[in-house]
Amino acid sequence: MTMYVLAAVLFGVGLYGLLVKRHLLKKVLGLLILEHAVNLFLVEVGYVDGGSPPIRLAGETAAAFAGGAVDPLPQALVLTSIVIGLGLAMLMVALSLRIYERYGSLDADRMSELKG
Amino acid sequence: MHDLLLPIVIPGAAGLLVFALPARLRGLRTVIGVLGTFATLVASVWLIDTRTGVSWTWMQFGGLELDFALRMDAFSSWAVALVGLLSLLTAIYATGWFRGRGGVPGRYFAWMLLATSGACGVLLSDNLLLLVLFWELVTLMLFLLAVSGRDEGAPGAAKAFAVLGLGDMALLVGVVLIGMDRGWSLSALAASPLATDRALHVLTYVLLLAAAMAKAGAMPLHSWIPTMSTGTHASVMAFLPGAVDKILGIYLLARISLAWFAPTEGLRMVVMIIGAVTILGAVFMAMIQHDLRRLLSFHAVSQVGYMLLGIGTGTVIGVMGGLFHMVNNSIYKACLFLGAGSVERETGTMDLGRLGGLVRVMPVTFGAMFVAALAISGIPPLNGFASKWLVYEACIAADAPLFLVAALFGSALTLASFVKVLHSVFWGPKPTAMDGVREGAGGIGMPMAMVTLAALCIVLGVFAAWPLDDFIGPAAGLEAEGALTGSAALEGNAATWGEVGGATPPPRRYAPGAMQPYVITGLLAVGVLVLLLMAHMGQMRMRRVRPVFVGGQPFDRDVNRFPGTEFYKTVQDLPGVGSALRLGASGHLDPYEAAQRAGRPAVRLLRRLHSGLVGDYLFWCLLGLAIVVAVLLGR
Repeated sequence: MTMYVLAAVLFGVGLYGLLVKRHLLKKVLGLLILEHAVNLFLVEVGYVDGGSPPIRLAGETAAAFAGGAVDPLPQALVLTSIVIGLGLAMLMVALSLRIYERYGSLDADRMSELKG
Repeated sequence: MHDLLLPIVIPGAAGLLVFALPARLRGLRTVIGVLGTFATLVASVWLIDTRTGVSWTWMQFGGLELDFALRMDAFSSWAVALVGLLSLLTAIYATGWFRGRGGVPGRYFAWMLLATSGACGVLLSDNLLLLVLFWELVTLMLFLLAVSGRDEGAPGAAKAFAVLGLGDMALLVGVVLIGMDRGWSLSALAASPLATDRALHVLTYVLLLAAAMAKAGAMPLHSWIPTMSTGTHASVMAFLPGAVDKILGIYLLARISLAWFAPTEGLRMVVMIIGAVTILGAVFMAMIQHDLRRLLSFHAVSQVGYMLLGIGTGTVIGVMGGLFHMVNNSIYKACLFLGAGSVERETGTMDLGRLGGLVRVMPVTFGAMFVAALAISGIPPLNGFASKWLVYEACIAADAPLFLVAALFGSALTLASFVKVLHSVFWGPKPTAMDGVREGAGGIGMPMAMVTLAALCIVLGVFAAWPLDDFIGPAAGLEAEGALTGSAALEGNAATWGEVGGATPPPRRYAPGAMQPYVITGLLAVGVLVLLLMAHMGQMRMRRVRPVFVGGQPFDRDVNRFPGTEFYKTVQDLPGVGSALRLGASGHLDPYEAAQRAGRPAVRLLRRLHSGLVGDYLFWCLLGLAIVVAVLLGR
């Protein structure tokens, strides 16, 4: 349960950074924290208390494996998600650099050309 | 390919071809534009005696089946030919209009041909949804034509698109209301019209009526025409708002009032009242205009009133009058818009206070506009008189003297207003600013279109019995009644006064009149001949030429002028009329402006919400997500 609370708190921290912080890099960090909060949550969903790693040993029956191992599906999903998150982080940082070249600033509130 | 597809496919294919051609083949685009409209006219004239229908299943979504169904009947046959003729003449005119001003703008002929295709499609469709599609196509093309190559057309085009879009929405809602009840086929609907005894059917009728009024430009949905006129090409004004939009609007009005619905007396009275108000309101507005294009636009609105009035009576003679007036209006109104365009092209101004004395330098334009101005004012033996005469007779037959007075008074005021136009533009001393003006810089196309239209004004007036017998009468339902002919109506034959569908004629309280165009024409011709003879023989010195004595001062033709802009200023001082005119001029009676004013607080709120900050937008997104989740969880 504590772990779920941790995921929720991390999600809140990330959302706060994304919504409230003006500095673009802080927004990027917020989004990354938010993303990892979700990853953590997914892994926790598949966790079985006292379970073994989801690796089937030689000679182990399928029933014994399914009874003792944690759920492998969220882990595979999260692995993919982490890689995608890395690409996303790179893209966001690269766009921030471009924005800095264009506006001379990383303050999001100065970029209000959609106003009105 | 089926024959009925020709008037839709020929201009449509030509339009797409022009659209696809590269910009440097400008000459080829123009050639295809003119040839495409010509081929449309030939095809529609060739089909004019066809009475057939055809249907293919086009699309199916679930239970909704869209048939590509066409049919040609006594009404749509000549209406399609008229659209073809008008598009050909305005296309020919456009070749001259754009000469020496950077050429025809890129896709002008593509939009024009597609508009022709859409108009023919509206007139030929036998399926409600198909009709809506073609109707929308014409609206869209009107917008694109208005903005093509002319930036100052943009505000007027936006307004036209907004008002017409409102009308189109009403049409769509009305059509869906009909379709859910009775299916989408128009032939089936016409075979058993909807009775307007239920509130839902009355609502449907009113929605379709609003669509027809917006398209034709009846008050209060007229305001897009004057606004649009000042920034748009003359060829576009003559083609769509001046002629084809009127044909489409009145086509829809005639269909809903005569075929698809059986309107009650009360609803007919509403249509007649709208017609009478439109005649008088718009003609008063026209009288006080200083811009020739705006003045003509208000007359274009005013003339729609006669069509509404005629069709609103519901009698054969009234419907004939309304439909014939639709034909005549499209001809003389197109001629007037084209003539105004010629004046604008050569002088560069449309301000009646600055024009003057152009009769000697622009004789062809003057001749065409003179004939058209007499026709719109209802002077016998021109075509405008023949159709107005039928409307007057219908008012008498319907025992509605007030409407008769409105129609007659409106006609007189129209004449007054055109005296102002002819005086301000063509007569009086020529201001020095007009000295270099000459006609014909646009080539042969412009005078050709105007003279053809003016000649049609005379032909359709003198030989009014021919269109009435062969085209208008059958469309108004005379065919079914056998022995009667359209020309009988012209001569005041009371037997034609019955309701559409052959009910008994109403009681007569007024003596019927007779219109004898040949006698009138003959007398006029004799009069003109005698006048010419007398002038030729020199027996009657009609004028002496002496230098003007102005208190010893030299005569200055820029100062000693009496421009027509002052003619009817006193109209604005009349009690009631004056305040109504001021309200109208300030835009308080214009639904478009009213909607703008009413919507301003909402716009202001939305502008404030658009902070441009990414965090705020994210917040709105999350709020929406939270609401969606809450709703889904709450179910």
